[in-house]
Amino acid sequence: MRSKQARADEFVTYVAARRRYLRRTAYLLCGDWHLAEDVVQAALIKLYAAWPRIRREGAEDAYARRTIIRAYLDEKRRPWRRERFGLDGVEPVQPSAPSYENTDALITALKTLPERQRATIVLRYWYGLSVDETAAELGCSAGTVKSQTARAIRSLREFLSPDDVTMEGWLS
Amino acid sequence: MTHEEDQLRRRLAEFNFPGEPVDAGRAEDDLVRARSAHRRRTAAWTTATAGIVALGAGIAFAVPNFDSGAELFAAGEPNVMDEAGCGGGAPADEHLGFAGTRQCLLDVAAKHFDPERIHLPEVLGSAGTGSGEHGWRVSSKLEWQVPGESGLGMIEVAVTTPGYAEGDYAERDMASVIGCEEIADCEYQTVPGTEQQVFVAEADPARNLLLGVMYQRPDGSFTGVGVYDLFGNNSLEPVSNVDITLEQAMAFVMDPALQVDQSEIAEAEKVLAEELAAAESGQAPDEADFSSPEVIPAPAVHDMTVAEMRAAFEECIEGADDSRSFEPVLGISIETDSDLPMYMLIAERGSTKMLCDYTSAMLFGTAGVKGTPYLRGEVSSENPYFGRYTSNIDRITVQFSGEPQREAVMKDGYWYVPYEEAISGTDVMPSPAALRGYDASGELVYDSTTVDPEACYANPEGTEIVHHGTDEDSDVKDCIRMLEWDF
Repeated sequence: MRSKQARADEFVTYVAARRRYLRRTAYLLCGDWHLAEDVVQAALIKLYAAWPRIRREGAEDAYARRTIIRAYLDEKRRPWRRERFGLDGVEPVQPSAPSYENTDALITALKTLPERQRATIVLRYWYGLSVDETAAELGCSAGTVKSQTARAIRSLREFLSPDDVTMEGWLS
Repeated sequence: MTHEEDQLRRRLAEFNFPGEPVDAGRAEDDLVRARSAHRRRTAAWTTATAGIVALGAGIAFAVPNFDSGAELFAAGEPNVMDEAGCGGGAPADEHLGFAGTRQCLLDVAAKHFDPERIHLPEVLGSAGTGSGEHGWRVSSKLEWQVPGESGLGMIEVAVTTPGYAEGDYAERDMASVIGCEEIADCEYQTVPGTEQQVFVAEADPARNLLLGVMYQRPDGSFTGVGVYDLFGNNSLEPVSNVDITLEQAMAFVMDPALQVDQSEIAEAEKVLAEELAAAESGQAPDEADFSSPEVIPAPAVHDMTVAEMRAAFEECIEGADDSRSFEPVLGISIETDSDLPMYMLIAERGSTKMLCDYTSAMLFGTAGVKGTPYLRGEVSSENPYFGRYTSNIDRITVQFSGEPQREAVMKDGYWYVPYEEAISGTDVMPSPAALRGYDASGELVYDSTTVDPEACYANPEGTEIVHHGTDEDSDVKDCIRMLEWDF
């Protein structure tokens, strides 16, 4: 039986190696580093709880990916939460000038997509999953993945300015 | 893959992630967080498992019988409690009981920390009870008052049954009671003049922790105390100091009079077994009572003037300048006998909405604030006393268990029940609540008690799950379609 210390060591080793990638994934999904951090922390808590099983199955990355996607979608779905000033804080005012988060055209464009479309794009083109794998990940049909993908790409194409397209040489 | 898709893939792979924060040593922090969460979850699981085992086998937890607490200690150990000890006497009439044990905790705490009873209350503190594979932990949070100050400090005191330490998570469970979030953050110290060691949590101003001490007795039971200068549950203001020294805390945890009252264990096991059985059958253990026919009419209201709305809004967002970009759009003043100013004020910033009432503000209405623009039914709640409704609703009532129905005040798609005790912070909101909506003909259109609380919800088009129920893999076709808010 694996000791608690061994489990802790394995977990820390994995997180140290993959945390940056996981948070980047979350950032692509939500477009906000603070929220990405929250999403990753929530996902890692679940990862630790399931560690013995997923480690045995060699499914660390797949499990982490799934929990991040779900943590992100759950975060968006939470029905309501009572907030009090001075405690949990209030939705910050969006700065009028472009922030770090939206200086890049691609991330700005991604943020305009509905959450399921964004998740689809991240799974398909950041993770490189197939249509069927993405469908399994999101719990929907392959047809839905295809239509979500098509809509997302169409939106990205429309959102990005001709300069972006020309300069970056994509979606042309 | 099309050329366009390939370009997108390459663009993502080469993305430079502007503004990416620097990570340093975060994996260890993640481990601490994950372990803490895992500990809580596992403790809950073992509680349930222990209860089921006890119920199924028809046995009680094995608890040694102690005639005298003093027998627990070897010669030379301090024994600061007099012969009387404590325990028993108080009826175990609360949830999971242990009133006698909690009385014991209070009495022993008073003996060591407040013999003149200046700071500690006369009445029992809140109960915290847990059972694991190897017995029971009983804890209690006691208010600590300082004369002349309006703030509240708190001491949390706890004792377990013998053998509790054999549980996998027992040490962590008790450590959390004394404010030691991670075992590695705390250390053993020798009690002066003895060879006994106690586990000590050092002060942590970020958590208002002043000190914490726990002790594992030779019989496998724990005692512990955590000292805080703020009772966060009951106050926003700390006291200037809680005058308890480390030596006093050590003497408290080593006091043999601290015992879980054995006569209370059987009753607690019975309650736990009933709850587990009820939970397994899907029935709430404490059935809500919505039988009262009494109706408290909605109070009279009048529209607030622009000046009144602005004044209420300024009070509401005091200290939160980020919210100045919200614009008050609706306000009603509610006429009650309360000394409190009762009102419902709505402000908006784009699609995001803010409710202000006497003490608090709440954001809702958009995913950005973890809400949704849709309604779960013809009447929908954002919290137990406020929500929205659709235009076919003419009357709304809210009923908390065991209480009369209260008619809500309604204005332009918003409903509100001025529940003074909760709003003023003098009471917690009773739960659960029945929310009902009637149309103009008086016909019941919506009744929250008939809605599956575990249901999932889809957007109005039925194409996307907005809120998962208990089943994370639910199919959108099986979810309740939410409604557009038609105001």
